[in-house]
Amino acid sequence: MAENTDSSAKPVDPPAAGVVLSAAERETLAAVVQRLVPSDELGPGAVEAGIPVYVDRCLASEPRPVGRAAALRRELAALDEHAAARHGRRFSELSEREQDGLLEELETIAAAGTAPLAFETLLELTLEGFFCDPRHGGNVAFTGWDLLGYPGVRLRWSEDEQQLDRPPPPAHRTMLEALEHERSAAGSNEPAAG
Amino acid sequence: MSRPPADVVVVGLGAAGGTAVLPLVEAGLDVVALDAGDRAPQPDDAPDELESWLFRNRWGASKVNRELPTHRLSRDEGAGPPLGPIRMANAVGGTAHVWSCQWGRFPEWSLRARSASLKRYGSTALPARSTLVDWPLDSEELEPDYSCVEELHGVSGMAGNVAGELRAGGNCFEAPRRSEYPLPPLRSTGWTDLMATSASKLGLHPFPGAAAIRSKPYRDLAECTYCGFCGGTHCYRAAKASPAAAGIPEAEAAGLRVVTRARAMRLLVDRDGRATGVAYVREGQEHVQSAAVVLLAAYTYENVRLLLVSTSKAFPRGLANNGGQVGRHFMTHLFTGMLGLFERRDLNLFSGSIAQCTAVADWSSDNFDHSGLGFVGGGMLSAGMQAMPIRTALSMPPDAPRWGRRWKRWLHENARSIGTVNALVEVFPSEENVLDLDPATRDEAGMPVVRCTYALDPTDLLRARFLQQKCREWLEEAGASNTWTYPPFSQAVSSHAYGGTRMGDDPDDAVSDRWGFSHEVPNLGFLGASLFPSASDQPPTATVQALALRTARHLVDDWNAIRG
Repeated sequence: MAENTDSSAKPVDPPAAGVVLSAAERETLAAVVQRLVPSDELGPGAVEAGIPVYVDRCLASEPRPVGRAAALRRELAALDEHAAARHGRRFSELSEREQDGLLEELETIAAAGTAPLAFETLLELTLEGFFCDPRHGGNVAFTGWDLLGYPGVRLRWSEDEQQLDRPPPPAHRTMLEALEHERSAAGSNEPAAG
Repeated sequence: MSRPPADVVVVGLGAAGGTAVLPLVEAGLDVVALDAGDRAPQPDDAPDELESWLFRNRWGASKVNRELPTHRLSRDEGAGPPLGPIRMANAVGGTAHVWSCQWGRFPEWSLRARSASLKRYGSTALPARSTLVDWPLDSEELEPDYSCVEELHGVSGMAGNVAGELRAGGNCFEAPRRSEYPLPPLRSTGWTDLMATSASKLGLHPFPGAAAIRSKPYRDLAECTYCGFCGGTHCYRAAKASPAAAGIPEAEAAGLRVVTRARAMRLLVDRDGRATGVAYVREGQEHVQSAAVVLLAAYTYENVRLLLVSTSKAFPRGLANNGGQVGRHFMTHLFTGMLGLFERRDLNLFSGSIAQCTAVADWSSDNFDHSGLGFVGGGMLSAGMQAMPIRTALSMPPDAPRWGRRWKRWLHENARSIGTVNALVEVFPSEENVLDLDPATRDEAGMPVVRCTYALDPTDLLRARFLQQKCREWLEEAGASNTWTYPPFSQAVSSHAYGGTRMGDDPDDAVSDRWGFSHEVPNLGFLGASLFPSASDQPPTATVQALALRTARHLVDDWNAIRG
C-alpha cells in the first residue's frame, strides 16, 4: 500500500446508518478514528475496518452505568471547536498533519487530568471497534485481527498449536462461522479441523 | 397468587443454590428453586469478548445490571455509581456459566488467619479496625464436601498432598486431600511450561493450576477443546463445571421444581419470627412460594438486600438482623498482576483458558515469613492462556505509542509477545466496610439498591505491591525485557464479593451459624460467598459449592429440628 501523503486528508465516507450520533458527529468521528488507526503499509485504516459503524452501534446499546456516549460526544465537539479556533475549519476538513496535532493536544490535556475520560473513551471505543468480532460492525475483513496476529476464532487447538514461536495461520473466522463449522463437522461425523 | 407449599424454597440457582438442590431432592424433599434468569445459553448465544469480558455483561442484562450497588469510600460521603457492570449472570446455573474456572480449595491458614497471625506475628499483626475472625470450621471438616463437588463436575488438577503424603508436581502447600483430582490437569502449553521452568529456577514450587474445566470427557459431560473463549464467556460446549451441566439436571430429574424468571422481592415470616416463604414477581404478577425452610442463594449483594428489605414486626431492621450484623464484614478481592514483553518471541496465548495455567502458591497465605513486611496474608500467582484481541490491545506498556502509525507498528511487532502473571490478593474484613440499603437509589422495581461502603486498608496495598514484585521477578526470570503493571484493582461492586451474612459460632458477630443457618431464624439458611468470614487468596467458587453441599447435608440430617 502506498505511503500516505500529508497534503489534505482524503475525504472519508461517514457510516451510512447513524444510530446515536448526528451526521456531523459521524463525519468528525470518521475523520478522528482514521487518524487513530490510519491506513498504511500494515493494512487498511479505521473507516475501512468499520470502526465508526461499530462505535455508533455500540453507543446505542451501551448498558448503564458506563455511559460513554456523552464522553465521546464531548470529545468530538471539543475537536471541532479546537479545529475552528485554530484553523477556522471543521476537524474533518483539516490536513492529516493538522488533525494529528489537535489529537496530540487533546491527549495531552486528557493526560493532565482536565478531561481525563473523553480521550480515553475515544481510544477505548476505537480499539473495541478494531479488534472485536466482525459481527459487531468493526474489524471488517479481519483487518484488526490480522494486524494483531490473532488468527480468528478456532474452537479446537491441539497441543502442538499451543507451543511457543509457532504462530497459527489466519483462519479468518468469526465466532458464528466457527460454531457453524463445528456443527457441520459434528453432523458429518468428522473431526472439526479448526 | 399462592403456590402449593414446598419443603424447601431456594432463592437463586447459581453455583450455590444449584449445588445444594441435588442432595435435598435425593433425600426426598420437595424443593422449589426460583431464579431471576432464564435457561441458558439460549440458542443464539455465542461466546464473545466484547459482550462478556469488557463489562457489558450481557448475561446480567435482565437483572443484575439494573440494580447495581452504589459505592462510597467512607460513611462520610454520598454513594455514587460503581465503576461498571459486574460479571454476574442471571440464568439457571448463574455466574458459573461465565466464570474463569480457576479452582482452589482454601488454604488451612486462611480459615484461621486471625489466631495464626496473632500467634506468629504478635498482637499488632492485624489492622486496628480489623474484624477478622477464624472460620467456625477447618479444612479437614470441609474436605469431603470439596471432594464431592470435584467428583460431581470432574475438576482437573494435580494433587500435591494426598492424605498427608506430598506428591511431586502438585501444590505442596495445599491442605491434605483424600484423593487425586478426578481428572488430570488441563494440558500444559509452551507458555505455561516456560513459566513453570522459570518458577523452579527461582526456587519456587510451580504446579499446574486446578481448573473447573474437564480436561477429558467425564461421565457424559464434554471436555475442553482449548478454544480461547472461557473466563468471561460461557463455554460453547459446556465443558465448565457449572451446576447447569451437573447437579441441576439430575435434581430436576429427581423432582426439583424450577421457576425461571422469578424475581424474589421479599422473604416472609410469621409472628413467631420463623421464615414462611418468599414473595416473588414473575411476568408482572406477584406470587408467594411458601416452604418449611428457606435457603437464600442470591449472591452476596442480593442476599443482604433481600434480608434488609424484609422487615417485619419480629425483625424491624430486616430479617435475621436483630443483632445488627447483616451487611457487615464485607470484602471484595483485590486483583493485581504484571505484564512482560518477551521481545521477538511468539507466546501464542490466544487459545486456551485463564485456568490453563502454571500457578505458584509460595506467596500465598502464610507460606512465607511476613516478619517486617507490615501485612499478613498473601496471594495466588498464575500465568495462564486466553489472551483475547481487545484485551491484548489494551495491555500495552505505558511508554508505547497509543495511536497512529507508530502504534500500529508497535502492536504488529509486539502484540504476540506480551505475557501476563495475575495475582489474586487476599483481603480481610474491617469495621468500616459494610453493605446496607442506599437511601437515595432505587432500582426499576422500586427496591432500594445495596450501598457498599468500602475502602482498602493500607496493608492491602502493601500486600499487593509485594506480590507485584514477585510477579515481576517471575516474568524477568522467564525472559521479559520490559515489565509493567497497573494500579491494584479492587471494585467494591465485584463478582468476588464476600461477607454480609458471615458464619461464626458467636451470634454477636455473625449472622449465620457454622452450618449456614441463621442464628435468629432457625429455618432460614444462606448459601454462597456472603457466608465467608475471610476472602482467602483463592477464587471463591470451590468453597461456595463445598459450603452449599455442607449446608444441604446438614439440612437433610437435621430436617425435623430445622423445619420446626
